[in-house]
Amino acid sequence: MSTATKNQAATDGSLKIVQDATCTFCGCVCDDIDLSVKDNHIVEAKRACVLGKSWFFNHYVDQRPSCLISGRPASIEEGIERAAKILAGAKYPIIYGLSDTTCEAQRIAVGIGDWIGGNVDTTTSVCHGPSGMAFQGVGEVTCSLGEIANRGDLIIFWGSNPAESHPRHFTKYSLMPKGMFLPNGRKDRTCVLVDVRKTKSAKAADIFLQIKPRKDFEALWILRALAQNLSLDPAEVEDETGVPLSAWQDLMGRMKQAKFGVLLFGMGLTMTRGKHLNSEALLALVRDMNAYTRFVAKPMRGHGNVTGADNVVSWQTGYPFGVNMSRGYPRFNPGEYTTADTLARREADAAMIIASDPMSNFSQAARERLLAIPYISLDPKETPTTRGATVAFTTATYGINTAGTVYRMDDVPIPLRPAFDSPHPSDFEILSGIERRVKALKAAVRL
Amino acid sequence: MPLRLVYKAQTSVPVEVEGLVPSFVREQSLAETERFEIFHGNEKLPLAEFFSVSGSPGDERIDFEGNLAGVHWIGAGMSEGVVHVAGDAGRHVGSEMTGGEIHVSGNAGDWVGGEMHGGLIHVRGRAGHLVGSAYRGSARGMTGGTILIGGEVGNEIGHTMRRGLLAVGGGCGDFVGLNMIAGTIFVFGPCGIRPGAGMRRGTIGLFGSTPPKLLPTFRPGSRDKPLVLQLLFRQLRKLDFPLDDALVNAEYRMYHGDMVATGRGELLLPERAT
Repeated sequence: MSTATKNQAATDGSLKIVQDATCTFCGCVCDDIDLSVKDNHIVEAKRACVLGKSWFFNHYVDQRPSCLISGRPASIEEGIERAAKILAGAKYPIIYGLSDTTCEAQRIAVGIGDWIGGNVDTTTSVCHGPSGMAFQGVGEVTCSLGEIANRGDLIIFWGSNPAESHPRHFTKYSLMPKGMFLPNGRKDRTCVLVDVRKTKSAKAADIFLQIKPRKDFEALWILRALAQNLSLDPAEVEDETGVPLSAWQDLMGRMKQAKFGVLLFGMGLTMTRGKHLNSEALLALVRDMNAYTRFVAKPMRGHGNVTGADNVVSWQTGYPFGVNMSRGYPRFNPGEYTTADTLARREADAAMIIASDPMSNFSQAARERLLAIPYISLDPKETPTTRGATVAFTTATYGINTAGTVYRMDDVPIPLRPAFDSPHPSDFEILSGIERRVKALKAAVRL
Repeated sequence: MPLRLVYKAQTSVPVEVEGLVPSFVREQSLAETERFEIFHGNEKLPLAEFFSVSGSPGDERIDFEGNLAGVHWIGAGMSEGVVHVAGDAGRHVGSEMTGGEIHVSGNAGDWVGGEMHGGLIHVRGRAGHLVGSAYRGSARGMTGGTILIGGEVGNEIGHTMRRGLLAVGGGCGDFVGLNMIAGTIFVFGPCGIRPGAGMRRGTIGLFGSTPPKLLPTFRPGSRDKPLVLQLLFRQLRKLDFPLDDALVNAEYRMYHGDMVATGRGELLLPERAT
């Protein structure tokens, strides 16, 4: 792959080619897309999957004003001033979202959270947050997607449906690639899918184990027992999981014999009953398997830069999400400082929502609270969240209109190569302006 | 005569009173206590802005009154003395306390007795999740002391508990005694799923009328009347914790687990319920 970006003028003088552009739709963050741009519209996206094509082809520049205050157009400077006053004057503000913007913008947002003594939380808390908690409890034996492509001979997907959620994962990383130690590609790999329903990914798998809903923990616990050669009651195992003991024994045999086993898990595991403890069970199983062979685990991350959000918040505060800074130092406690909870308990008194739409997916209690407090939104598109915002900034779309850095699901940083400019400012520009004003307001209070 | 703190504020923003413990206020005058700084969200304010302060701190007893459901860290880190809360209390009651007593007449929030090391916490009403548990990322939950909850509790009580006694009069949520290292947990009401998952040692007594389904990694053991239960029940009664006489005289089936850990934990179910 070329690392250079070339914005070539086409023969007709209006077609622009952007080589090796990065798709930020899902956590795969494919950086080998060639975009053809005509009249500020992407007309071709070579190598993009169906989701990537939809992401690029349906992109348009929102015609809303760049800033609305209480629904009325305002200048960006006025919006920044109003936003800074809301945040600087709040006693328990929250900053939420961040998974669909650049790492540069995320860094500024965390800085603002520090200045205002607020709670910084990302959409991780409602997707793979349980995995982040499990990493602390058990640790994570892991690797890059490149290692999976070159070495992984047993690929297990658990509670994940990559055929529909990460379409290029199979072809780029997990199943099809001919790797350094897997010269025959797919023929050298065994793929297992464990899920509660037969998804489209089942067609790609050699073995499909359909377990009972909400029995992931029990199934993983049974595998842990088999890894330790414990005897189990076949009737009890089948009653608990819906899968015969012999099938679990067969899977465990394959896991022990694999040269490089991989467990890729999705929200079908992390968001069912047990949540972080399901993730802990899976990570503990992978840890146990390393007594026999090389085995790794990797969460299948969804949003384009949710992994970047975890990384940025971690290196700035020490914790990946749900961080409280009201005492001047970071405190971590999911359930206490996570946004869905601080809103539902009516504790938050102001908010800044960045590239996220909690009004579409939070609980009724949380949405009611958000509407009752002053909040700022930054989003390229109009959403239920932007419609209720006190200050709503329309921003440029990351990856298509703005440059920056994002992290792939395996914590590898990837640069963005924008296709064309937007009339709207970037998240980074807006947040930098807000940070400057917040600093000034806080300094004035101290004086 | 105790130090009397009557909560007068009306705010939805969390109020945190960490450090306001009997051994500290004993050395303070009332005026100094009124100036003690507590957190209201991200701002530090004098205690007197939220509480009417009266009485005497010399007795090493603090009486909180009012609706304190939004007041957190009551009695956190205390080492001696007595705290009474007339009504509800917020999160982190008695967190990391090493001694003394806390009595809550109403309900309490999550993390009651989080990483507690000693002393007594008695909540007459309900409590939230993670009672007596380890904080996220910590290696150990409560390492000593006694926690009594009269009503129901949430999930993950006694998470990675190392020592001490935790008794719940009502039901509990999922994962009671998760990764328990040692200590004793009694639940007298119905129990959620996956009790004792990952427990290494320690004892969990599940005395509800409906026996919980155990993980396949627990093995049935003996049936008898463990003497240790008689002793612990007697201790609970002394602490004014109500008990059904039938349990005192019942026989119990012991289950050993969790076999994916060391398998030295004990799960006790009354035989009448199995």
